[in-house]
Amino acid sequence: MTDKVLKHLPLTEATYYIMLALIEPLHGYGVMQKVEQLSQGAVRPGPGTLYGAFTTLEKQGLIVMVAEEERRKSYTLTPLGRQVLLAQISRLHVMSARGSEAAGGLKSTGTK
Amino acid sequence: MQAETRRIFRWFWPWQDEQEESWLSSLASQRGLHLASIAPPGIYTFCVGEPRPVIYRLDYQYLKGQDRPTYLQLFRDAGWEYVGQMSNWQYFRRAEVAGEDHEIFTDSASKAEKYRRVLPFLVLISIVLGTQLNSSLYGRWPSLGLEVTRFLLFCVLMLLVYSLIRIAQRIRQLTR
Repeated sequence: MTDKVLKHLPLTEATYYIMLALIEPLHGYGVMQKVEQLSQGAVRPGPGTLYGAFTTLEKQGLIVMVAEEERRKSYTLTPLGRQVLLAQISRLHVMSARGSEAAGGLKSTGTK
Repeated sequence: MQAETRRIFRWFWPWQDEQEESWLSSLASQRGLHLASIAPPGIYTFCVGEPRPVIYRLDYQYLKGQDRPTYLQLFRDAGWEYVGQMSNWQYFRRAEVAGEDHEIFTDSASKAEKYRRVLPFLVLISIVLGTQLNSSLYGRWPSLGLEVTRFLLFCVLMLLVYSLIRIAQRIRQLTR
């Protein structure tokens, strides 16, 4: 994997879900709702967080604006954005698998 | 009949944005003073009305003309009312309702980013003032007027440096 992709990892939880929501073109408020739904209510990005994420991700070339109607800009992932998201997902797979293996042992020794 | 208004002057330091938010909220909920407009260097105009719980939040954004409408629309869609801006600080508010979102920044990474946006402006002004002060030291005519100006410049510069330190501390706390 190239450094160009790796330098963006790890994504924060909010950025991860925002990028996940942008697999399909979506505008700001749509992203808010989609992220809440994808994260089962755990992440509800505020407008300040979301605007900042759009600005940063666009500057980094991970998302691109595809449309603007009624003062609402729609964004979607760029090819680089897709690579970054895929790299993050495969890291999460490893983290989750190792975590699940360890969880059994933790539960039996954790409480006295 | 025009609504009754009240004007308050208050100095606002860049590291005190959270105090600013709670000050505005307490004026709304305790005294029924609702922010109508703001103007630099710190002139607040309030409409006098019924006391009710309102949440105020500040963002820091230097908005280019074409970015402003989409920026404001995003906040509007999320239920925030735009009040105005002062020196790139953007003022928003919403009625306080239990169970609804009360934050415009929902993680510490994005909150730290907000303070990072403040830094370049402070550094720039500090450099400009520092250069002025430095060149004034080589002034050819020492006079009382020059001494006073030099002293004032020095005080402002110190306050700017202090602001920079306070904001850098905030960023460190948030990114720790």
